[in-house]
Amino acid sequence: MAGVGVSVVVNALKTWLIPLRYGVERWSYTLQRVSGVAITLYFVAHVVETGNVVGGAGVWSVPPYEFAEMVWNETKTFLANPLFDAGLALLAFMIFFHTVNGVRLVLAHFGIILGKPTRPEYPYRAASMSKAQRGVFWLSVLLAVAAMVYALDVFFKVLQL
Amino acid sequence: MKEKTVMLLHYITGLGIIVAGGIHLATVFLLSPYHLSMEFDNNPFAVLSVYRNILLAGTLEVLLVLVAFHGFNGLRVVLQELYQGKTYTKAVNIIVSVVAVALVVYGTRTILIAHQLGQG
Repeated sequence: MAGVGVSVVVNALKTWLIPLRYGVERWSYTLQRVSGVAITLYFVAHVVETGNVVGGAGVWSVPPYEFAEMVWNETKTFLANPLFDAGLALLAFMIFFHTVNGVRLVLAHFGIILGKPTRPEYPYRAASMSKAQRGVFWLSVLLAVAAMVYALDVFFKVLQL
Repeated sequence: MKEKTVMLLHYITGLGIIVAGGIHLATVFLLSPYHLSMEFDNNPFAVLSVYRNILLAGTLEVLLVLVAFHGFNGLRVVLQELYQGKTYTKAVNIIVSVVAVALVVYGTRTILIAHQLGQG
């Protein structure tokens, strides 16, 4: 029984994580899921990390000011790591992609930018994926790249914008 | 809650995050240089200054609740798509809810204490 469960999960993972051969719709699906999971994991880390503003997980009443300041400065030293900064730049990409592509999905689910159904004719491009939807998808990629470049500039001072 | 209601809430929280998250990102990156936003105190957009401001602290609390719901419901949907089963579904629902509530409690604690620390 366990073997069947594992193969179901592996097959499901394959269909999400390998978006090849299906056009931008599948890329949008995979990116939306991967970025969503990544952002949620970051959110957990971020809530834990900002908990150090007041002195960490053990603090449940107002701590001495100097203690909280010391813990926060230690946290900042720990976070001053190029690997974390690179991760944040990647997150900037994912957050902007997920946001704009998410707006596309909301609009599509309410039928606002959904294409009209047509006869399936070669080369079988999905009619539901209207020009407007494709436009918003590429806009989300564009804004995501812009956000990542901005983040790289903030963390690594590469462009001096 | 009906699945239909949950998904509607998923969209509403998503749109809410655009507003609350936009304010959060603007205070950290746009209204003052990033290295000043990361300072503990003593500048208008330092960490404690943000928590001291009741509107910005309130925005953080709203953002915390919205992202906790949206993120963990998203995770629930993803896990539900991966595999289906009565016990599995129940376990996923419970685990996801408990973790989300725990994060809201912990984050709310940070916001409340940091707000008072800022007054002190």
